[in-house]
Amino acid sequence: MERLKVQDICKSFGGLTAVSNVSFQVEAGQIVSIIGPNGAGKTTVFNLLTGFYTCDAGSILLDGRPIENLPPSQYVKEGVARTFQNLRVFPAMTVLENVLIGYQSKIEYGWADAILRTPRLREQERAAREAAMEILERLKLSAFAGERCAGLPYGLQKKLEIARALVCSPRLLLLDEPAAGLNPQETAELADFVHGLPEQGFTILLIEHDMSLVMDISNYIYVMDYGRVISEGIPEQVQKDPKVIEAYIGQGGIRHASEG
Amino acid sequence: MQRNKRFFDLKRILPLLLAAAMYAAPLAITNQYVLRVCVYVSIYSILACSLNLISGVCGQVSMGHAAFYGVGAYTSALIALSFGLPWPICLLAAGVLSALVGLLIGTPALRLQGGYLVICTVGFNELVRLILLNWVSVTRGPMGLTNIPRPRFFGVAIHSGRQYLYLSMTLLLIVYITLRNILHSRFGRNLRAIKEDETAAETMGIRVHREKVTAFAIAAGFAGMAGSMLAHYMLYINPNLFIGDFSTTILSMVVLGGMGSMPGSVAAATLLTVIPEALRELDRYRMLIYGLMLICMMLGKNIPWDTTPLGRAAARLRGRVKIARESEHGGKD
Repeated sequence: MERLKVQDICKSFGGLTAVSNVSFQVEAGQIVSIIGPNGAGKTTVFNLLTGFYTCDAGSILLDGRPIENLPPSQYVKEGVARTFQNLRVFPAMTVLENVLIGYQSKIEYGWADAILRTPRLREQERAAREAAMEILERLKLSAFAGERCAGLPYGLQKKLEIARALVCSPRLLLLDEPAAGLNPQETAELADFVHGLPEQGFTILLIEHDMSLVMDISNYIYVMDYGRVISEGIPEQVQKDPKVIEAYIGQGGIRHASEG
Repeated sequence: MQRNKRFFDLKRILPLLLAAAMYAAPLAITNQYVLRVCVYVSIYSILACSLNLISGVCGQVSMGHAAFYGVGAYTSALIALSFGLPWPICLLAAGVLSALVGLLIGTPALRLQGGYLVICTVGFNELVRLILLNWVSVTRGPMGLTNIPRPRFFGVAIHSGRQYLYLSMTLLLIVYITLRNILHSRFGRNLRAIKEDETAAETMGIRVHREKVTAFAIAAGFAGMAGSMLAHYMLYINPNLFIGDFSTTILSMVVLGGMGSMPGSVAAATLLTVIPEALRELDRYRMLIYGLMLICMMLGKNIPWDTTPLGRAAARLRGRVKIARESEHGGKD
């Protein structure tokens, strides 16, 4: 069953075509990656998938429901959550509060409940806290629950951003370069964690530059260059595709390109 | 665990004790002048706390808060003067109308960011002042509104300074608790998230613009209520009370008290009301000294106190107390 089906989406900024006729799909319970050199349009695709940009053409279906061009705040309700390439946690808030913000779309009480502190509010706030702590526990972040985010090491903040996205229980999780800025040990840990997510019922679309990570955990890979999908397949196929090697400067193949 | 419980209890009892002390204090004050200053402290605290919601907590700096204060004051006074309605109704009407004006202005203005929003709210404040000044048939222009009726409860008019203080303190308490409850709910959390990172907040499903406008309208509504309190206390209002200068003063209170801190806003409102009064004897040097003190206080706020010798000594002391407490706690287990 396909969770996400993207058909011929296009986006141009003025005369520059950032994404042209890109189509791909993500099966439920899989990890699908989009790779490609800098400026290939990967993040633009993410921004189209989460409403930050509007598609010029094409359609995006999540479990058969069209979700293109909604307001960005609508996507969590539709079941799409994302993380950002350049870390966007709320630095002055505590780790727990950050995750609670992720949970907020599931909270239903209104202003009257808030002002009068009704039992409804207490009940839902307690449930929110429990759900948030459970996620933190799973990511081994619970020891930092009460700490301000700004004081945490970069690796933990990255993890927290994933926790914040997971607590929405999304049907599709978009991870934009989760390994960027992590050391090899942290990256390996992250790979393990992300690899285990499909078992817990999550479906993942991943953008990543760390090739070993991508090759290790992806079920399927799409390669983009100059706003187009130039290759696709299982990791072994993509690694051998001459078009992909050429896109990454040719010479020694993907592994060298990722190190350079 | 035990320590947690005790801490929780203290947290619960302390506000009650404070409230009790607050209500007992006016009985000890006999000086009419002091009572008067206290009434102003209450009213200004309402203004500072409400502005804190939108500017401190949510980071949307507004320099037009006095305009809503004015809208509330005039609404309340005009309703009382023309229809003779009781004060609680005037108060509510003032709050509702100010909130509506807040909604009307906030909806387009809060699309702007940072400095642009500030300038927009400055302009709005000036607009309201000019309307109050020039719409003579309704507002009586520069002459202001006089003979505003005193609040009455069960047929008895509030007249003494102490009664007014109880009234304004109660209003402050209601506003304070309401705002505090909002801060401790998901709405407060969302507002703080918006201040930190609008894009991330939006991604997490927060409707950023709507939350901002709602907070702005709530802040405006409470400012309007403060205006109503003022009108029925002073019994006379004119457009000069609601100029941009005063908006700046309210914003100073929020900044000095710490952006986002409600107790801080009350403390700063108290300080910035009492200091000019205390300096009254210095006559024409008063505002000069007030200005200098304001500069020093703002600078002092930004000093990283923990790194100064004084701060280090304090930290050592705190550390010692903490160690002592922990060893005591350990002994109990």
